[in-house]
Amino acid sequence: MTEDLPELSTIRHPRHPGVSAALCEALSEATRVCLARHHEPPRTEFSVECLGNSSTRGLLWESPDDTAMRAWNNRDDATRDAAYIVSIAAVEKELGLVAISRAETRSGVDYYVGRPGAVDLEEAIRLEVSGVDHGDLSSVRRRLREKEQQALRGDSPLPAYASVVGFREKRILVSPVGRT
Amino acid sequence: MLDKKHREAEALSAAAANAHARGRSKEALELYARAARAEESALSQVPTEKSHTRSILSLSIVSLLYKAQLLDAAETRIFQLLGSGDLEEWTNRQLRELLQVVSDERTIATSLHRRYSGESITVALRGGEIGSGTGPLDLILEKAAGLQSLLYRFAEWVGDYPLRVRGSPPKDLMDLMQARASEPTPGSYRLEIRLTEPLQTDLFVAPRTQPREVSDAMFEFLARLTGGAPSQLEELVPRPDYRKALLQLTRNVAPTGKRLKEIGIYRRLEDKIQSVYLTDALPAKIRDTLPREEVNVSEPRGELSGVLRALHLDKNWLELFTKDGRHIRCDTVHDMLDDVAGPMVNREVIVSGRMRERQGIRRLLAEEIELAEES
Repeated sequence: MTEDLPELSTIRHPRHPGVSAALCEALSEATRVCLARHHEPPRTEFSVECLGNSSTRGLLWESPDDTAMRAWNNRDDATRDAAYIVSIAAVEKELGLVAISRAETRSGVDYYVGRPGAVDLEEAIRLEVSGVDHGDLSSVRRRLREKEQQALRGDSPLPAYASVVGFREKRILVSPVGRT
Repeated sequence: MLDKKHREAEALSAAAANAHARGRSKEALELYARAARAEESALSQVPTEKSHTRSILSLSIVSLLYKAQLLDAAETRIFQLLGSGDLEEWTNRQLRELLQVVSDERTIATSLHRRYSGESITVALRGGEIGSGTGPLDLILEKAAGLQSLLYRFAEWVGDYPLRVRGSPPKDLMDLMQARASEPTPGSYRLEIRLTEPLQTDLFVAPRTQPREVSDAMFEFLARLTGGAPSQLEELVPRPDYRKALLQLTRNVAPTGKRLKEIGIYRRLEDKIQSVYLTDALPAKIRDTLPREEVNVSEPRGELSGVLRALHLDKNWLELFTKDGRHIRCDTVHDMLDDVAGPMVNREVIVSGRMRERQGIRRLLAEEIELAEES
């Protein structure tokens, strides 16, 4: 028997302090659009490989409406944003961690995860996320290697996880980087 | 500890990113500036012993000021933070890196306003092995040649020339570009590419390509590639062969991370400086965006990596030397381009395409080739 990933509408404040209600809604909508490109609602089963452990997890979702399809289809960030919230759901399910904070970088945003109840970023773990829309498994694995190398090249000594979500491939890969 | 001001900063920066994605640039800048102020308040509430938290929020403040294009404020804040002495060393390194970028961009803006009358593009190579106005010669030559190849392709596309699979650019475009190294500055190695009018070989026929059109085409293409959806690129370049050529040549130029972190490309418009940034996130995006034929289940996709030891594109083959010491020959598609594959000889590459069986032998038909990540 498989246990599902947390419903995306619940990946938000207060359980995930780093995800506001508005952000949760936006990221969930992006996920619906990405999943609808390849799969049928209401449930898609993902193969999850997290820190060496494998599992199969269902994800419940609804069809996006036309407005959402139009809005997100003209943006390059749908896959990336969808990958963020699916990765956070996977990290919560597999590792019991929650999204604590977003923090700005020059070229984007870093997400930090940590234990529930953390009040600061002292023990936070950076989450390096990427999404693969239509690539096959080798593409997803290759993207994970690239994210790992990117995270290792970063100047931050903070521990990090690299996470890649393959939407067509229904695959979530999470691996530790550095001294996690 | 992460009080409501930090949450406010998170919400404002998310709203700013959303406004930016929808083309509302002015609103985005204002929201980033408000987010920076909120993050500043949040930082003031964090005790000095919380060094990780202070470090992350400090970088966040400066990044928000940079995104709000408040370069003077960003510079001042970096000096204050570096002077405070209470941040971790890795944060100080990143702040110094940011300071170099901020200074560099201010100088570029000033010099572009001051100097050029014709169509000119400034290219700033940053990070990795690039120093202040210096850099490894092989890397600089490779990127300069790559940019030149890319600009010629844009000129050919704008001029509606047929797609060139082999050989040099058309003769009437050969004098289009003059690339020169710019003066040394902190934080980057700069190239200046001046675009000149092509030779008018016939008195009564105007040149097919004008410098401004080439420059417009390149910036529009790169802006859509880095910030838009694949469908927007298709609208701009409907022909899949040209789209594929431009994407592959852009991938040749894009940083892969270790030796070079970023390429900033700038030009002056009437009322502003236009910029586009190529980072190490770009190769993966281009891979996702390249036009491909529908998958044939009897010919699954495959990929091989190794050093590109030989290629003969007229005869449609290339040869890899793999890490386990084998020489593997692959077929190549007819439109594998000289200026895409040529510069990769003797370098570690990844080739991908369809696995085909011919006369009982299984062989890769290489449809795409790219440089492997530097280790």
